[in-house]
Amino acid sequence: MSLFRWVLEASFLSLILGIFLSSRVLLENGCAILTSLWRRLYAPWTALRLRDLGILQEEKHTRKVTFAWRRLIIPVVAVSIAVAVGDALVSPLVLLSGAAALMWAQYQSAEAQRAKVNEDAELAVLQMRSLLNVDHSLLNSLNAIDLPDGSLKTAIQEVASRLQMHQPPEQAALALKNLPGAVTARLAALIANSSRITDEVQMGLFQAVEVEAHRQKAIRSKTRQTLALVRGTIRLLQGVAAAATIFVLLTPDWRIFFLQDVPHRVLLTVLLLCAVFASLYFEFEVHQLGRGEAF
Amino acid sequence: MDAYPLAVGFSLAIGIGLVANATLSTLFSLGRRWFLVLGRRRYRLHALGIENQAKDVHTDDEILGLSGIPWVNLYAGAAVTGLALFFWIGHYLPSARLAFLAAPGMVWLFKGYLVRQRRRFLLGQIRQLLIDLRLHMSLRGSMLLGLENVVQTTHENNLVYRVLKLRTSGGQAKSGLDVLRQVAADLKSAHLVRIVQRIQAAQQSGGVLTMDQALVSSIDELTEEINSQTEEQMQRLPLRITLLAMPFLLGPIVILFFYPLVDRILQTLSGTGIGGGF
Repeated sequence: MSLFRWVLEASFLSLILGIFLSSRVLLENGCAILTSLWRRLYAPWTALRLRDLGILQEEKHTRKVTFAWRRLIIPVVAVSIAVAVGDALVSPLVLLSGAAALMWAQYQSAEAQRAKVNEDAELAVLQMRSLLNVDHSLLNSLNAIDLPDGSLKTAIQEVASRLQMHQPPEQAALALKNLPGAVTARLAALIANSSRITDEVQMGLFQAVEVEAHRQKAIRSKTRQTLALVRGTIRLLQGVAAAATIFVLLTPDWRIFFLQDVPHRVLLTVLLLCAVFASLYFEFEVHQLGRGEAF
Repeated sequence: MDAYPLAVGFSLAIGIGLVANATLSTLFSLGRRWFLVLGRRRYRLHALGIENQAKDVHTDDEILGLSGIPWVNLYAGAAVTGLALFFWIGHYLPSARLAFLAAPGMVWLFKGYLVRQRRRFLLGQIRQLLIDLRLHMSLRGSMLLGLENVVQTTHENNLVYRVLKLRTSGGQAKSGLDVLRQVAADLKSAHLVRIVQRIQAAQQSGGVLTMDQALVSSIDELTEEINSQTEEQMQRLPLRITLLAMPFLLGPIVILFFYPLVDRILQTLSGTGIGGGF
């Protein structure tokens, strides 16, 4: 047997072994991702059905769980285009792009909810400082806070009810523990440690937290104003790119031209990937700067 | 068929790399287990959280929070995909077929992008940490307790807080200043090193400068720097995004719309495409 034959067979065997090893790990990771995705999608739907049936009792002040029907537009459009094109290369690509857009929309929605909690916490700190100046009681201040409906309002009411049941502040503040945001965490720490510090120190710390929250809010507002033009331009370009893609994939002449042979298919694939990645990159860039992590 | 030896060599390299990786990881885990069994006395110390400080070293991936991503699998997957593309459609694109073999390079570029993103807003994160530290120091009475309280109460998962969590875990920390010094060394941040020096100077000043004053002056200094950086970024952003958006978003639109038309016109002019669609 020649040396080349040996090398060839060894390389073939090593490739098969390598593919087996990597595909096993990839399959495991893929199964884990699919399971978590299924749980995430299935849990809100199940909760909604159980609430409709009256099996799950809705808590007072809890925001009603609603199924985001508008989010269904993205997968419906992606699946429709994929079916209409019916190509082994382009259809999966369209589905993947739709999945990426859906995931991005969900991420942004979760971020918006987090930002709302943080903004509510800023309001709560501002009101607490004013109320503590007048009435030096933590419980009265918490009871008098007026916030828009949301998870922070519910949590603050729970803290107040725990304090009324004579729980120590450390335990009462645990109601705020699972809420996101830096200001929320600072507010929880101030409530939890309120029995250890003097009124003067407490007022000073509330003032410091309030000043920082105010600064963050002012910079976020300024950044959003500055980014408005950039965001609008990118939205326009994204819209035109999406319209162009849909037009090219659904118009017979254009579709036949781009799917006529492998080089044209590769060109279409590269263009689609380029548009999708560029859209996601710009979205992420603007989102990151607007979120305020930089400040 | 000149692509055949190249494909054979590449597949050999991928296979050997993957097998070597699997074998070495198995050997490493087995060896580590044996080492722990043999060094049981040390293992008990480890269980109690009392261990050699020199061993408490974290890799860059752990510090940056990238250790959870299976990079070897990604490199291998990209290499196999690139090889498959090279085989299946490489001969249709003779001028660009070698580009398929550079698929693992995309993973490398992606990793580099993630590393840059993690370090991008370091100053803002350090500033937030100092604000939290100032608050919790006032609440708990000492810097170490304050740092531990920050770790327990915060929900932030950015680079600075992640490193702080790594450094305060295990209950080995002796002083808050040591923890901050370790965090500064992990982050390789000159700003944090300066802040640690300032706090140390305040500690040794015998009451001339309090630690709170040192923190406040550090926060003010960082605020000024962040403000100037933010202004600069805001001014540059429209130009940068416009320049990048033109080729990567407008380019595909133009090509998708006009390439078939231009191709048709050229074919008509050359006399090969008269009649029919595109």
